[in-house]
Amino acid sequence: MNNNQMKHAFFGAAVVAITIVGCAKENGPDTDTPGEADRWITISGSMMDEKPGDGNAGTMVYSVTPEQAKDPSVSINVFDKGMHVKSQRTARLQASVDGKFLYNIQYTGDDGGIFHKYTVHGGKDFRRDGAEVATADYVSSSPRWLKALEGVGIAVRGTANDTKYTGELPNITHQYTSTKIDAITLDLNDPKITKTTSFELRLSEVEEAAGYHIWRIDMPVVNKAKDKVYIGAGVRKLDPTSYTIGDDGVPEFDSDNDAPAAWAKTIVLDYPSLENPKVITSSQTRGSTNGYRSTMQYVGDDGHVYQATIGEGIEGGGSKILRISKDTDDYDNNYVFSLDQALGVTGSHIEAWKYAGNGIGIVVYSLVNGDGNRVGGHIARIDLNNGTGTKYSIPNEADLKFNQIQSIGIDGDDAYVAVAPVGQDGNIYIFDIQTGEMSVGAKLINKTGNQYIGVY
Amino acid sequence: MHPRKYLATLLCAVFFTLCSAQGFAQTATLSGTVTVSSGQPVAGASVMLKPGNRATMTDEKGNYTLANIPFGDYVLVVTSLEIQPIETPVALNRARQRRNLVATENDATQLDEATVSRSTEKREIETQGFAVAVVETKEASVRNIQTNELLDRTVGVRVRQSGGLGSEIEYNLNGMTGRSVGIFIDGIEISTYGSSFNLNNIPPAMIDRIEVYKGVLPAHLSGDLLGGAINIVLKKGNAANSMTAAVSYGSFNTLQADLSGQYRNPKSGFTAKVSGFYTSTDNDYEQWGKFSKYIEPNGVVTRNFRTKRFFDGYRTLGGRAELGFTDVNWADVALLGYNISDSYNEIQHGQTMGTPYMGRTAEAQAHVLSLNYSKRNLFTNGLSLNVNGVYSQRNTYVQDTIPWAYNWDGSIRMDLNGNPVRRPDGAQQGDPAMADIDRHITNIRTNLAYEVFAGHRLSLNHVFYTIDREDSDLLNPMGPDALKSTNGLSKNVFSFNYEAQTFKGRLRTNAFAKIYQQSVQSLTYKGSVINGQAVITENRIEDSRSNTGYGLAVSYSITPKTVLITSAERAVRMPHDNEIFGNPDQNVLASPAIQPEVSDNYNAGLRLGTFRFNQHGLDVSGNVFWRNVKDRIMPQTNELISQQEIEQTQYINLGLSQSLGFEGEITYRYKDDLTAMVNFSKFNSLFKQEFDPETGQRMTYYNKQIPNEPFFTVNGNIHYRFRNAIQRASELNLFYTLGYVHPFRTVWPESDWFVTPAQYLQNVGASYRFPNRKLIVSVDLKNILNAEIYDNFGVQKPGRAMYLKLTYTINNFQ
Repeated sequence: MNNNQMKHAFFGAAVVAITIVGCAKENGPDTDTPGEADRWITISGSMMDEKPGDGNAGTMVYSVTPEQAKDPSVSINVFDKGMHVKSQRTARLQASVDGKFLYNIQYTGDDGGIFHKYTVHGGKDFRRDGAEVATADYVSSSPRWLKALEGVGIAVRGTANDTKYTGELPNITHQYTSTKIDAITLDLNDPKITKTTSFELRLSEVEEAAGYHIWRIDMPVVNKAKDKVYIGAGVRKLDPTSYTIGDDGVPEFDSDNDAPAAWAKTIVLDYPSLENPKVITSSQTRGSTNGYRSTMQYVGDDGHVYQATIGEGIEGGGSKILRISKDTDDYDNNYVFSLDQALGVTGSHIEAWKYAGNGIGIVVYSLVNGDGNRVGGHIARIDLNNGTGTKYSIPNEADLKFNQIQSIGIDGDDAYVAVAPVGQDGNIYIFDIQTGEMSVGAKLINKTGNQYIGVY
Repeated sequence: MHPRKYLATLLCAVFFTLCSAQGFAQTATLSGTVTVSSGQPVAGASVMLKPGNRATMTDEKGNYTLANIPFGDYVLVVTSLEIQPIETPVALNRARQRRNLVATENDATQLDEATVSRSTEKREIETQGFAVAVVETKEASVRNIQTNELLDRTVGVRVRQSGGLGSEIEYNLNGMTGRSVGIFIDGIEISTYGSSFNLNNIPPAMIDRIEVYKGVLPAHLSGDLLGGAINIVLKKGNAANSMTAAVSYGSFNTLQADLSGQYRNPKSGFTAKVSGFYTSTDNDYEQWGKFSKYIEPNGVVTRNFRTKRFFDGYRTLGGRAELGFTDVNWADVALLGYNISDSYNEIQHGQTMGTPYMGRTAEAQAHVLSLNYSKRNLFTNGLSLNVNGVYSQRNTYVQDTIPWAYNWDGSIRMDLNGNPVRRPDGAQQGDPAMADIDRHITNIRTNLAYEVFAGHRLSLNHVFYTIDREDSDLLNPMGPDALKSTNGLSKNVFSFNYEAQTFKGRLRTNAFAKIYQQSVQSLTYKGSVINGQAVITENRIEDSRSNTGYGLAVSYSITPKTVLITSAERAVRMPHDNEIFGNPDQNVLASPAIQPEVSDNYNAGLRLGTFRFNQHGLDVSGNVFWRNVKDRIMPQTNELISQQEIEQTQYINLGLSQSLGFEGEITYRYKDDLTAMVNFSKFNSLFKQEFDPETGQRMTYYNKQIPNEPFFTVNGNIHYRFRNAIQRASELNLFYTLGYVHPFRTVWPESDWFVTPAQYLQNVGASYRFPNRKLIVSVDLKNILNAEIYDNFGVQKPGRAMYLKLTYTINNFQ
């Protein structure tokens, strides 16, 4: 190769190199330099993917001091200023009671089911702490989980097995549908899995024959004595006399939405062994106890567990709060709190609630309309001991949607709720647990299709 | 340019084309011989008339003929490796003219006709007006290079392969991917041949060239494709008699062999062409990226776990035989073909590397019968017919029965009690499966073209496609008469096109219209118990619909070395059966009113060159494209959860997206020895839904880049040829290639974690041709710096690897 040729070869290489160098990545400077605080209030928001309000593009978090959270002149913009919590879809966040730690299990995606712990340092400063823990092989890449006890997480998964039947098509007889239950306990202090279990769950013969089965479970909470874990359940019913033959030649029994829903049920396991599964059934309401994304059951000061139900609709008299007795670990069927009755509304649906001590609760709810759809967003203070409640008046109640809400924050006597319609600005609202007084806190800056979903 | 204005410009071009068509009717036939000064004929030289780029090749006696050339002034260009190029002006004003040329001999030994003919063909196709890149396989066929690697280096093409050789592939053409990109073999959809005969295993030696059409598709590639198509043109049986055998071995225990031979009897025209290939590899390459995880029994994760892939082997065997006649008076090509292929693929993981699989395999087999008939001047002058009919019987078998969860070190995961962990659904990817799927596919493509008068051609193209599919699950065997729900599909695509060469061949226009007709059937059985009596009811739904697309491609030679290329198409994508009928198993509701997706595609480009300065040659080309997809078919989830909390989905027409981008390529040549090429592609695939339909608010991601797409890529390569380097009459070729992929986000929000970092892939290679011209040895060193290379979904690709290949060719046997 002579010099001239070499020159041309290098010229070619140089063109490649220049093109590459010309596109270096830019990083904006980090302007938020938070100070120190004893308590951080963390606000979370979910981002839309392609459809406004779907919450499928991930979760952002940002933390402020309680003073800032209460100050209406402060503006909080988690979407532009916050940190993206690792999760392909909406992260399922929990926090320690002192607000110093944030816990997340990624929901779906390549790292779905991976647990992370963060320490909270104000602003967008959240630092990874401890090991990453993979839970997917025990409880799927979209586990349902809660901080079931301070320092302990429980993640669960319930899936309906294929319906059993006898005979050959078309002369087949429906038998039953059982449920595969998986559960694990997590050490939140030194992140790792500490216990796993997996078993097949059956209902009573009568219920099974009618087509009832548990199809989803969620909301694991450990009782006061720390010897049982209660797991909320959703029950579905199939029509044993009607089915569709799939493309694999297997009959799939059709859903039966007209029949009465099952009485509310809860799965009880021993803690910490996760053994001896038992299903307890309430006689007080036909509803689900597995909620959606927000904690539905709490251990009260009296040692009983108070559990909210959903799905009753107008006909079923709206959401209830049931009691699981500390003495029997079974439903106390002498007790029921009806939100409809307490507030004088019809078709209430509890989206989130928080037990705030002394039988007082803060409830975020919607109302089911004549078409069976949940509309609006409202907040009330309830008294579980005497069955009463008072609704607060907040702006935009008709436009609010709390269906993705994950957490109501509590610090001292203050309960914090993030209130903003999808895609619109809103505020943090603070409810004094003792006096019942409501005050308007920091402004929440929103973006199209996004939602504020939690305060921790 | 504003799209409407652009369309208006194109319409004007059509108008002028049609007007000018009346302007002339006189044509000439130019013929002659090409010899060197000694009188020796120059065989296989390319003879081209500029402008217009009408081209032919000289025969063994150096004769050439160019017919039906409109009267006018031209430059006759003759090129061959054997001679110095000739450029001479010629004025055509009589019906028959002769021009004999005497060329100066090159000192190079023998010539390589195939290269010349292909480069002519490449340019011919690339200047028809479509945004098309033609990939040549000649050089790759003697190197250790997969067809997919060639494609991945092509401007505007990204190949997304989930792992090593043999694993699943998706092609991205300037941001369009999935079902919007079609892959064809000789114009027949590749799915007809089954997954045992695809770009993973068809060796470059079997391929004549690959045409990559971006956005706008010519009429002969008919499909409801929005994003473009890749058409693999297999070698035709009418070349010289030859036999080639090649074997390659290298890293990851990769063995590849291919064998091909062709014979043509010059008297009878009898043609036989046989080829076969074999590939086996373990793909046990090392990986260490952040998605490579090791999980302890207590769930604690170690990232960047350095390990080898343990279940990613691939094995394939195939053959193709064609028998018939070529260049006889009743047919240009009449070939009956049989294609058999078999593949076995170990599937290491799903779309991402998150969970390693063990024991999930896919096997495929296909028997394909084909008939290819083409004839120019059938019955009457100017009428040509081309029929390609394919009947395929293909089988796919997927097995996935191992219940255990695996770690990336290849061992079964243990739980806290020392028991093996089971996968959540009982097998690696889902439910245990031994799924056996038989498909019978008939695919017939017919093209009838008529040259109305010189330079004006009308053609009608028809594609008929029908598929009959039978599924059986060996884990849950059903009798042949068992009741099953089934879906059926058949489609017809008619396309019409009108090609014209006007203004002395400087303006070429191709206007086309396509009619898509689709019928889908759904048959479901419902059972119910009435008064203790089982009753089965049959529910049959049919849906027939048709839609129209149209387009135009124009190329204009401003000067012989400056060609303007532009095209536009309204393309449609018909809805799928499950989008129309729904799928009760997955809670998908029927959506009978769903409309096809529509995309308006525009391309405009410039092709400059070859500019020659002494021994230097330079080619430059650039292309801008703009695509606007409307009525995208998207699932809409019903968020209002009913009492039983069943989330139902329905497909709706919603959403807009837009791609705007540009690509360019510069090629520099020095003599015949050095070639350096750089290309780049940059596009913006933008989210175009501006307002939330419910609130009227402006969308946050409006006009933002859609995540998960590598939107800026650069490829470069340098090739140097040493003649007589080691031995006299030998040839040594050295190659260097560089691929760069700019970092891209994998989720909407800014997040350091969800970013695929910058990637640099560098390969070097050398091939040596022995003086007897029969044996070629080549060595390739890939990813020399052992860089972390990823696909779109974070799947790590092989690190440093080395391959050796021997190719042996016998030419011109009788």
